Amino acid sequence: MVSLLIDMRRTIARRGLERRGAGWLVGAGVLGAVAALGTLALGVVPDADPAVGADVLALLFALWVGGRLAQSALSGGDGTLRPELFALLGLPRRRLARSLLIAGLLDPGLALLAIALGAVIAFGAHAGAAAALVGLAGRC
Amino acid sequence: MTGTALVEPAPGAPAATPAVPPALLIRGLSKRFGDTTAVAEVSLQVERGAFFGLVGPNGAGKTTLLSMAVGLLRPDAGRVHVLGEDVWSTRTGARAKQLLGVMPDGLALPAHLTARELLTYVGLLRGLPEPRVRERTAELIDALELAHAERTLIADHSTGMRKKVALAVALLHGPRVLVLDEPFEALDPVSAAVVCGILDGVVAGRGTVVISSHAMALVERLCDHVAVMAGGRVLRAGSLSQVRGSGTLEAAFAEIVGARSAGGGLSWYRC
Repeated sequence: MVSLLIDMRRTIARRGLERRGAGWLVGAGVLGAVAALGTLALGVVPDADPAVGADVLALLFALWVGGRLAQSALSGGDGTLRPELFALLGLPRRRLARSLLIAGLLDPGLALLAIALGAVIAFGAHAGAAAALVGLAGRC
Repeated sequence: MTGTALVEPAPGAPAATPAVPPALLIRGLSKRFGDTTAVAEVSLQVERGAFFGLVGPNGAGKTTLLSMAVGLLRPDAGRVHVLGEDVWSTRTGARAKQLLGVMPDGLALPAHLTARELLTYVGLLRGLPEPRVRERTAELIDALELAHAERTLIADHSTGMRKKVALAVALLHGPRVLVLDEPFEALDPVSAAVVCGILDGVVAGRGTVVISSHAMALVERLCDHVAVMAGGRVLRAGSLSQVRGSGTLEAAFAEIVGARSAGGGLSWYRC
């Protein structure tokens, strides 16, 4: 069921992107990648004043998380795989919920968010392994 | 259609256990939204092989009743059994839904798939073997005249085309009980005739069809049993001849729900 839902999600996403055009896809992809890698770089390159670096990262993370929440709120959720369709099919509920969760995690937006939030691990690594681990736990 | 019967037991009456479970057994279903009672202790029984029509004015509670009957909306009270399987039981709910083919009103289909893609995914998710999914998808596309929409995304379909795709989704796994909410809404007369033919075929094959509709002429032509609903209650139910009496179903409906005339039209249009 998981592989079917992933395949279905991929087809829906691909068709949606085809409708919007290749230019939109390239533009959004480049913008997202630059933003994510830029945020990561701020964590990798040590700042002269760690307190300022921490504040900047905190602000950027708030923007990332807020942006992600706003996108979901404004678009009514991802909407690629609508649960109401699957509610009609008589599928075992736990298996369906697990499969939808896994399929839902395969989102390019989440991949960019994961890269951006990697900055907290890199930033923590400057203060030692323990701080990096705390950053890793925070990101997860 | 012979061998069908419908009874409406009194609310609270003990449920008899029939030897052969009916296609759809609804006992004391109720639903409230805030202060509004959408459905009030409705009980209905639809026998196997019946073509059952549920009619009522806007806001009568038809969609709420059907949504509860197919497991999409949890009732405040009451039970629903499909061919003996309890729709709202955690143990048998999935089995009951597998026996059902449902076309809810306003179902949001995945906009960025073609009809063929959607039917293929739904068939495989339902556990049908791939060759059978391919075969049935081709037959449904042909029967419902969806061929010219095959390369078109559902997002670009008209409302009528989407209805037909939703009906194809409901029919794909060959359910024994079909529950269709407003299946003829937005369909052109030719498409409506095609759908009528398909539904007649389901009943002829010992399947059971339950529809809600405002198209009285179609209900009268298709259904052998009818229930009239208003204000969240079933006001009259029985065989078509019992419900309509000697007149037409439309006249009986107007009399049962107490229809009133527009009283000469709108005041600003009166001469």
